[in-house]
Amino acid sequence: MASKRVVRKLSLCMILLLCLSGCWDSSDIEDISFAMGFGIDASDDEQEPIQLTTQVALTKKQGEQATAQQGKLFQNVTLKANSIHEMVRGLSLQLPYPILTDHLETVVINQDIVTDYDLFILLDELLRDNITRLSPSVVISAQQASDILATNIDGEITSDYISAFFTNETSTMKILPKVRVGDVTANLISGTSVILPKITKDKKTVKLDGAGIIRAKDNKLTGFLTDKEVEGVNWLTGEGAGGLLNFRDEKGNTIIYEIQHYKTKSNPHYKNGKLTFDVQITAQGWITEDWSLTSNNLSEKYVDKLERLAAEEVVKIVEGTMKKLQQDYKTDVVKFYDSFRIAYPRDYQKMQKDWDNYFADADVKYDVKIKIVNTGDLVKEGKPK
Amino acid sequence: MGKIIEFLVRTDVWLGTIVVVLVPVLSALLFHKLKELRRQTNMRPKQHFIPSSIVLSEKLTSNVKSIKAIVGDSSDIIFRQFKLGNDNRSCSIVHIDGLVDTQQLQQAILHPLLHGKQTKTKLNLFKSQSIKDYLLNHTIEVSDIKVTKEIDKVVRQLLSGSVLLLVDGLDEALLLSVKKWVSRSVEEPISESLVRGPRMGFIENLRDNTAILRRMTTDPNLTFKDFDVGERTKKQLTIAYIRDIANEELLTEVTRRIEDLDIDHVAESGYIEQLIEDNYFSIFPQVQSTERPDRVMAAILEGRVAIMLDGTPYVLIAPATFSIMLQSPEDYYERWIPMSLIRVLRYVAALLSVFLPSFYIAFVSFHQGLIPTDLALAIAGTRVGVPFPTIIEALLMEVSIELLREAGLRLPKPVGQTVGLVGALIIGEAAVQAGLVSPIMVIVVSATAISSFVSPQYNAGIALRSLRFLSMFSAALLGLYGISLFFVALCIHAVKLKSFGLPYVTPGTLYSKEDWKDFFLRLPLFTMRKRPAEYFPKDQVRMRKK
Amino acid sequence: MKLGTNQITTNQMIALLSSALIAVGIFTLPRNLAIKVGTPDLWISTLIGGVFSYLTCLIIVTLCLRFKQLTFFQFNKLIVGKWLGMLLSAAFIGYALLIGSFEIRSMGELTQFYLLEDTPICVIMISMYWVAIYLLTGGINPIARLIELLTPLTICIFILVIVLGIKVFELNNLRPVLGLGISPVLKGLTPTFLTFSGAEFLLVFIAMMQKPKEAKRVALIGLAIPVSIYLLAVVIMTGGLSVERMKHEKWPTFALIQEYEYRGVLFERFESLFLVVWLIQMFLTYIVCHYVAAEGVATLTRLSYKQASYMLLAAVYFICLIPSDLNQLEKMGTIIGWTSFAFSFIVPSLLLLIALMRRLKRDGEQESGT
Repeated sequence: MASKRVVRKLSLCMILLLCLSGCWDSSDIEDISFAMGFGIDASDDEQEPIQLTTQVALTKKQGEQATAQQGKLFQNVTLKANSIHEMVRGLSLQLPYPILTDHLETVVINQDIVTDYDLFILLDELLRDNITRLSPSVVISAQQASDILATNIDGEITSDYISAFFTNETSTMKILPKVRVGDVTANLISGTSVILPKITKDKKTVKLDGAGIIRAKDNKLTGFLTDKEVEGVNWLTGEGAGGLLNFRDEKGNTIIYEIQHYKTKSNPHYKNGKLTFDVQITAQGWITEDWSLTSNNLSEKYVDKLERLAAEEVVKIVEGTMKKLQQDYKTDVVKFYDSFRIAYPRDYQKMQKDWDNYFADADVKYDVKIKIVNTGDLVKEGKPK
Repeated sequence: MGKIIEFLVRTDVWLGTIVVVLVPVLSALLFHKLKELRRQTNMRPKQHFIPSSIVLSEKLTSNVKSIKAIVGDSSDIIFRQFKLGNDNRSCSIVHIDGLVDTQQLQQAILHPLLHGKQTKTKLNLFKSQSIKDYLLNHTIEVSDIKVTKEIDKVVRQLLSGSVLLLVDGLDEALLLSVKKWVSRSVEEPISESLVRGPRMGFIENLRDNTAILRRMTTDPNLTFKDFDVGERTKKQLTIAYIRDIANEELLTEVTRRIEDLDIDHVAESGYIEQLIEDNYFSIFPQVQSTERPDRVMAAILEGRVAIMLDGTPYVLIAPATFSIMLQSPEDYYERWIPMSLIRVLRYVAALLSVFLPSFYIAFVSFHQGLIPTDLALAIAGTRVGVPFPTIIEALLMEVSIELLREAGLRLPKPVGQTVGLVGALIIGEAAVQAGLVSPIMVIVVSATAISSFVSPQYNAGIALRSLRFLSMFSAALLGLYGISLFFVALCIHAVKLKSFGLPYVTPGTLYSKEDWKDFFLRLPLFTMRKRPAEYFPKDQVRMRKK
Repeated sequence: MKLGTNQITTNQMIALLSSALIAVGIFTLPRNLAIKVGTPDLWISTLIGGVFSYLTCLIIVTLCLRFKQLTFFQFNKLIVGKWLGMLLSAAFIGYALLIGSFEIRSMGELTQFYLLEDTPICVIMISMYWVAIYLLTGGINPIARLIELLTPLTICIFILVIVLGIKVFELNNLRPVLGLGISPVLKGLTPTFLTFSGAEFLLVFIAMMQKPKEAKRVALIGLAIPVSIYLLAVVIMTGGLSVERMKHEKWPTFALIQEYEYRGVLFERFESLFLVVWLIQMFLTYIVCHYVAAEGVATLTRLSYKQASYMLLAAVYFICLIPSDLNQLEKMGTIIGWTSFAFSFIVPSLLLLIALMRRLKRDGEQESGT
């Protein structure tokens, strides 16, 4: 009998123990602030030089069905401090619920802060953190990051909106492929320069506009590229997913060529300390707009001519971009180092540290082949007016 | 060195060590004790309900007297005394009113006895041997006659419906079987209805059930072996098997366990199931039970053994494995591609019915980062204002669903349906509107409930439903980690479990090509040329062509 | 029925060997390799390491087959005498305990880091131990069955999760092949070989096999499975992350899985799936280690197997708390690697040599006579 009582007591203790302990990590989903975006700015304060804007999704609003589509779906909190994690924790002073950075979509970095600070330092906290993923996109902004994130677009959370831009990759060459935190890290670790998409605020909305370049030397911003130059970068890396090529024929008529897919290959040659690259670009696509009224698009000769003109246009774009990269910024953001590493692994080991300078001095030759497979449904007779 | 000493004096380390060892040791001891409980022998001595001192004598009056003494003065026992037609010898017929076909009794027994005439042979009717011979060979028009001296058997037979004929001068009793009682007609089993397949279920009468099986085959190897179970009630139990297929060891094991049964009364085959199963702590049914004759036939043709009990339509089949719980006879009646898909669906449903709510709990209250952003925001939105933590919310809903199910089950059909409707629609809707539970929770719980009904075997469904609660608790305690621990523990339990010597997870382990053809998928019939190897049948080949 | 035997089938043995080999290595190997090798030729090192492991396995198998139905704890006495044999057995038990606690501790650390930040690590580990002892008391058959049941599942899911990494795979990251010659590849052999520890448990398990003659096949397939998984993981990781990044990630495997997202699929993020599967795999490895240790203790002392396994529970728990942080844990891993080298290569080959010289063989003549 006694043993039975002991057993009963013991099992009671066990159950109590189980109930009392446990659930250390349990917290209900509605009692969590989902951080959707971070904006990093410089601040005027000497003591607290960094300013972090956190965009938090407002879940309460989504519960109310009627008003869900209007109004703000997010709340921005801006803090100043001299370290990122301190600011993230500082949010607890302003938000009722603990912050969760797992669902981070976008990190917006102001241009001023990256001219002063090493990008690696700014992203350090995110990379060390155990829960933040490597997939949020990183963009650079000319305006204050806090302003960008404060843009109120109906029914959208701004950082979600920004990160969704990159799904448009297939429709234009002027968008860089999404640069995720993971990609930036890869570049920073291997000591290569990074190109980041640039975002600007335009009245009531935001838009992608060119790109910013972070040089490998000190991981700071060197300058910006325009839309057109971004197009060149995409042609050179071969990482774009397609888009349009706008060129003119000899009479000045606008012709649009849509790229279905293209391929870029850079073949490095390294002899006696002289570095040259042969860049081969081959593209396939069709003509989608042709303003010339006199041309016969069924004639092979005409198509050949267009192909040549298009190729010339590509060379022009690419050369323009290359000139800026080699002469003004001296940074290799078009990943020529990769092909060089594969072809000359031993030399690359020595040159890796100073690669951007080698790149700046390299000679680049282009060989562009554009193939038009289709000129569209419309057939013009080619009669002069 | 200092570090090591510092480590050695840390109390938490020692405390942890003690806890980590003590708890399993204690619980092992506890379980050992509980398991011993079943093995304890009953203190009751072997009972004799019929005094063995009484023997049949040659005197009719004393025989009748002793039978009366044994069965008492029950009003349903009829004693009829008469004189034999040809030599005026006293006879007595005893039978139970209501268990005997009266018409047959009159025509085939009473009439020839009363109007018998000694014809061809000159019988010396004063010799008991010849009167017996006369009665058996020339007079009584009943085919099933047993002659016995044992009073025990006489009384048991009488009480089970035989007509007892006592003759003066004969120290034996004649048991004439003209049994007839009310029995249900053969109907489609309600608990296991199929779209395609025989619309025939077992009924309560054992003989009818064996006849149903017998009618399915003329194989002389189909064997029935009878036992009497129940110390007091002595119910008839039959095991059915195919002699040249069923494995010897399995047969002896089943026989041994049935002979070891020690119980007063067996009301239903569920008693047998629980008394012969391997591990009474397990939540899984270790013996299959069914009402379908086609299922039993298929099982014994695979080399398994069926256990049939008088008085219940549920037939037990041993051994059973987990995969059998998710198989339905229909799998073999329809074409193999859709049925394979359906079988996979059942496995998915079984998984869902155990793990869906716990995954919901784990993701919503532990790992919000691991679900897609939009889904996370949506769930968070719906949960705004719900006053309970997820586990309580889930328990609330699960318990009410179980309540509804239980209530609907017991009520007459039309009322039951109304209860279901009211419960599901009105209470669910109202609970959401009142903000007690979130709508997504309602979806999760109802999806779980539906998938738990998919199991073709009712008792497997109950097992899975109970497991669901355990899994929810482990999720609420340790999140995803808790669920994986629970899953591993469940698997461990399953691999440790055996049903009549057969590991419960077969063919998940002990891979055999033959068994896998009928595991997750049901491959075309011609591929299953051999019987499943898991039961070690004596005759392995099922189809001739190869 | 033939099911009641204490022997394990060939399939179970293969599953057992592969799950003993697939362990924490999948988290630590890629980074260690990347640091040592430094070129994208990691996969060649992995492959060579695998082949080398197979050779050591062959030595072990040859040794064990000379002593039919005797475990390492029993036959080493016959070869080197009672006292030295005792010492070897004790060392082997210690080594098995070390591996077991290492697996559980790493599992605990990973779970805490990625799943349960605030839960005390002792709770995570203790609950795992409790589940483990439930299985361990059942003896070798349930263990073999569980491993046979779960290993195919975990391997499939693991391959799936890794293969999904194709989304971020870039072939350029794997080029050039042997760009800096063969020397970096050779440097990578040490970490690879240290990761493939676990084959030495064959020393104990071959004695329990139903058909010991198939031991060589077991060694081949049982090694081929984990080696190809490691190979696949290393290839996809190098392609997806590049060698440079692998050097700098604490857990490159996780970095790879966090890299990709499949939108629109129910999961979208696959770490959870991966972690769950990996927990189970670590658990299985631990079970094998604990079983070997308990079996050893039971052979050496008068304790029954069950008592031994309860007692070792305390030992394992104690050992796994010794490393105070992750760096020390990794040091422990290196120690384990070297011990493993001793037990899978040095000890068996020495024993085999001695056995050959002394012409020791058990039951050989009797069997041929009958």
